[in-house]
Amino acid sequence: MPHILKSLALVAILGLAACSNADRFGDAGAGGNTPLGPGAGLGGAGDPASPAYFSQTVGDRVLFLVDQSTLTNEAQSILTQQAAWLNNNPAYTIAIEGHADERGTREYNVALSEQRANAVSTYLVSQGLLPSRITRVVGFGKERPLEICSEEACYAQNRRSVTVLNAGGV
Amino acid sequence: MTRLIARFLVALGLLAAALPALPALAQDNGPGPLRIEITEGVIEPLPIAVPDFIAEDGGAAAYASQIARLVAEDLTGTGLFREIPASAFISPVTSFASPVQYSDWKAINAQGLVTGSVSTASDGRLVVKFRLFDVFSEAPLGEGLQFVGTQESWRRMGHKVADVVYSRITGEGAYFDTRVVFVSETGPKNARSKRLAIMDYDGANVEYLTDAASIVLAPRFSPSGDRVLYTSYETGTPQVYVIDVNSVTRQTIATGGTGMSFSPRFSPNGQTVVFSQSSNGNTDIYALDLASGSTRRLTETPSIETAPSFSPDGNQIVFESDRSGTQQLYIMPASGGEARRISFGAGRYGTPVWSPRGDLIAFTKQNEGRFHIGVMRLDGSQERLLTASFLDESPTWSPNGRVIMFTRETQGADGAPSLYSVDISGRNLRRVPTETGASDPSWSPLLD
Amino acid sequence: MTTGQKISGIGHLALILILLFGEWFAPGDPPEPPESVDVSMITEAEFAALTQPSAPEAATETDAPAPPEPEPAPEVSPPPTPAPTPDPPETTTPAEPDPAPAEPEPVAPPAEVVPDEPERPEPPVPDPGADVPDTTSADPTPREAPRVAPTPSPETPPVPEIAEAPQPTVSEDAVTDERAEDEPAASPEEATTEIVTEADRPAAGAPGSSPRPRPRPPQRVAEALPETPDDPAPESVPEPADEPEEDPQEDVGSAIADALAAANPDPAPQPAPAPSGPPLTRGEREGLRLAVQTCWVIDPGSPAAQVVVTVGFRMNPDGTVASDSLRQLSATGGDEQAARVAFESARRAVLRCQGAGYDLPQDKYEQWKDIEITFNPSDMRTR
Repeated sequence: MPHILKSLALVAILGLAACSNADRFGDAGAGGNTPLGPGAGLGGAGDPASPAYFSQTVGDRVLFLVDQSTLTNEAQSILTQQAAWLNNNPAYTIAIEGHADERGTREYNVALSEQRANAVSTYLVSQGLLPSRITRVVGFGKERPLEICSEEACYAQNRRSVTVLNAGGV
Repeated sequence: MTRLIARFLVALGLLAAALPALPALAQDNGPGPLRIEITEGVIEPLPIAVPDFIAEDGGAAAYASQIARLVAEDLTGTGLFREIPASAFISPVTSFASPVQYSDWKAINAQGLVTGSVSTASDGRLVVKFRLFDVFSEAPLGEGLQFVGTQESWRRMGHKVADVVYSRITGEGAYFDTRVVFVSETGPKNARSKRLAIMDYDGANVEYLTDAASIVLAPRFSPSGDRVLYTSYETGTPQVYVIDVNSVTRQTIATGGTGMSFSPRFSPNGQTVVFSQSSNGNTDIYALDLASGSTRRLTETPSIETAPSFSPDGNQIVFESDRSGTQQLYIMPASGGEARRISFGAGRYGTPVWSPRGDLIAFTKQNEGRFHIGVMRLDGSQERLLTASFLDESPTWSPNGRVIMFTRETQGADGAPSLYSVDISGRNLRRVPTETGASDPSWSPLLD
Repeated sequence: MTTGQKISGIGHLALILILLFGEWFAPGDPPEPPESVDVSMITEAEFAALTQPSAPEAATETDAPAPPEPEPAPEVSPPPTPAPTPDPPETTTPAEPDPAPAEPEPVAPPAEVVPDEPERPEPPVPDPGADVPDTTSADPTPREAPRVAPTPSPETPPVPEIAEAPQPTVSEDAVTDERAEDEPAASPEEATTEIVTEADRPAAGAPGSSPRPRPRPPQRVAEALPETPDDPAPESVPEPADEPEEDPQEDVGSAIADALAAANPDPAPQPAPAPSGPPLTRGEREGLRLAVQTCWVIDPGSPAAQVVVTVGFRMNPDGTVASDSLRQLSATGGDEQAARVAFESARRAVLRCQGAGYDLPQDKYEQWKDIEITFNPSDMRTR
């Protein structure tokens, strides 16, 4: 029973995350990418081959510690699954977008977030992903926060790297 | 020649002897002058009077008062002057030509007096004349001057008058007839629209240089003030662009390489652009020769090197690097090579900017949850923090090296950036009025 | 070397210096740059070149909101316009040490400030309303004030902010002549003893802006004016260019006399070994020093703040300065421009603070007939 509750909660949280992702993210700043919102996926999160499954069940983002670009164990395990999913769904290419929280200077954060995105890129390639499937590795610095409060809870969510499936891959 | 040397020796001798001896003398005073040493003064704004300028004709009437007000605002805005209100004046100035009643101005303790007139030339342009008086010397301070310009440019003429007054009184260069390029920000924090904009130093006459389609960052003026370097995400990856301020035409700077390019700055002669390039998780500083298009790598470390800034003589570059583990400031030759660290205090240091006077580095410091704008000497000594807030960053110097403008962002979900300025003494902190949110200011040189 | 020898040596050196440097500094001496009242012309072409850039810009960019005159208002308005944004969010975020809600402030001052600042005798009326705009008053560290003086003034009670307050500064003159001893600036203008930057304050919220100089209370002027028996500037006669009047000529005459005097081996009591009257007491000297320093305005951010300047002048028996005798004896530590500014600041200090005459004992006139003051800002720079 507790397991069921947990699962429900998890699904609910992921669902919310997906919404906020679609609303707040991947706007003009992401250039040519059209990120896939809910509904874009055929068959939704239930379909293991859908982009929604990738973003919600696998998890399209990993988080970083303050002023760090090294991958935590948790991040590595998520990325391992990302790589597996991508290897199973070879039609997709990806862009990797790094971000930083607002507690740093602008240009440094651009560089730091590129470092984060690059750490993800390197890890995915180490897991067998073809480098050619990564179309872009870019750092957005603190320009596109996901959460907007000025508290550690928000900062933690903003220190992230997001693996974006390119629309052209479908 | 020998006389010169003799003078020099005497001067040296006097210095050597007099400095230590003065206090002693002050104690036991023999015949001769009474000698006193004063080491404590007062730091306060100098009282000045800027009566409304005289309108010589009907067409000038609209400007006579406005220009005088602007001159007064420029001066009092420095924190170094205090304007004496017109209600205190004893004798009104009724004509630009008539002599000044020094005693009347002394009586209200006006130490400087600016008088002026505005007339309309036959072609409709404005002629602004002014004089500056040192009241306690009972004499003009420098010659009277005049400026001619279109009616639309009345603010520039006012700024120019204030520039002259400021320089004559303080002995320093001025900064009123200048512009500031910055990033105008609107919209919610997680979906900000950013546009490059330019305005007068006091916030007037805003013009936009780009639309809101892409993220733009950290513009920087060229040494001549006619072009602006900046970073834009319009291709999806940050790249360096240069825009001509007058024609508003824009072009990409070919930085070479495939990664992200950002943090561009001009060299003092305008012929080189230094910038950061990131690829494979490593950010280094490069120099691009604009004439030849050739690029040269200046730093080669596996860490982040960014935010370069040239010394005024163009020989050195100060930049930030986290090679030690945290963001710190370093100085290296402009051609690259060995860098020496200059920041050693607690916290992280970033965004160094070399002062136009050459003797100070302004920076952003992050320590114990607060951000500061500060200055230090070139060897890192005499660090002074001028501000403190939730988030201060991106300092830029006034062309005379006296004032620093910077970004201050407020805290929380509704947080928004605005521009502030502060005197390098740490006094006179004030907000620069902008209609939208504003960040990343870059101060132009004095226009001419 | 005995003290006497030292004194004599230095006196001579000083003399020589005057001789040698007198002419050097003469050009820098503001005894008046040639008073050309001519307005110099800039050619139209030149000005066209100046203004060219702005015109096309304005033309091409239609979306530029450039309101011609409303702009100035925010800049000039003396009361600090506290940035509206910070406060509400700050109060709600305990994570940062930043928050300094404006509201609690008025409550804090009396308790917090008094122990820390013994120099503030009367804890200001806790008048909450009036205190709010003063973003700094609650600080436990030295206050921030537009004025930094050697002796802090009692904090100005938040008097009705009347920007129109008629000229305060007159009171300064009137006040200074009364002041003989260690009394702090009698002017009630708010002052603090050191420059306080935002960063010096403990993790408190940043104020929206720093306080503007505030006018001194109006009533002072009313008091002071009648008290001023005669204006320090005696004559009422007009100005330079048009009317040659008595004064300038006199000035020139006495300036020449003075120059001659300066050029001659000590004009003063040197030969007369018998000083008339006993030496000044410490208190008398201090009185003079304090009186002058009250009027010595320093700009610590200026290159002139690097200059140590010594000025010399002759005194009239009534305690007033023979203003045409005021000259620069030496200046060290800066370029010519900085030295000029430093000298002007020193000269203004001497002239402004004399009021109706410095308070010096008549019977010791010979002792203070010639005065040399060294203005050394090195302590102020580091503040």
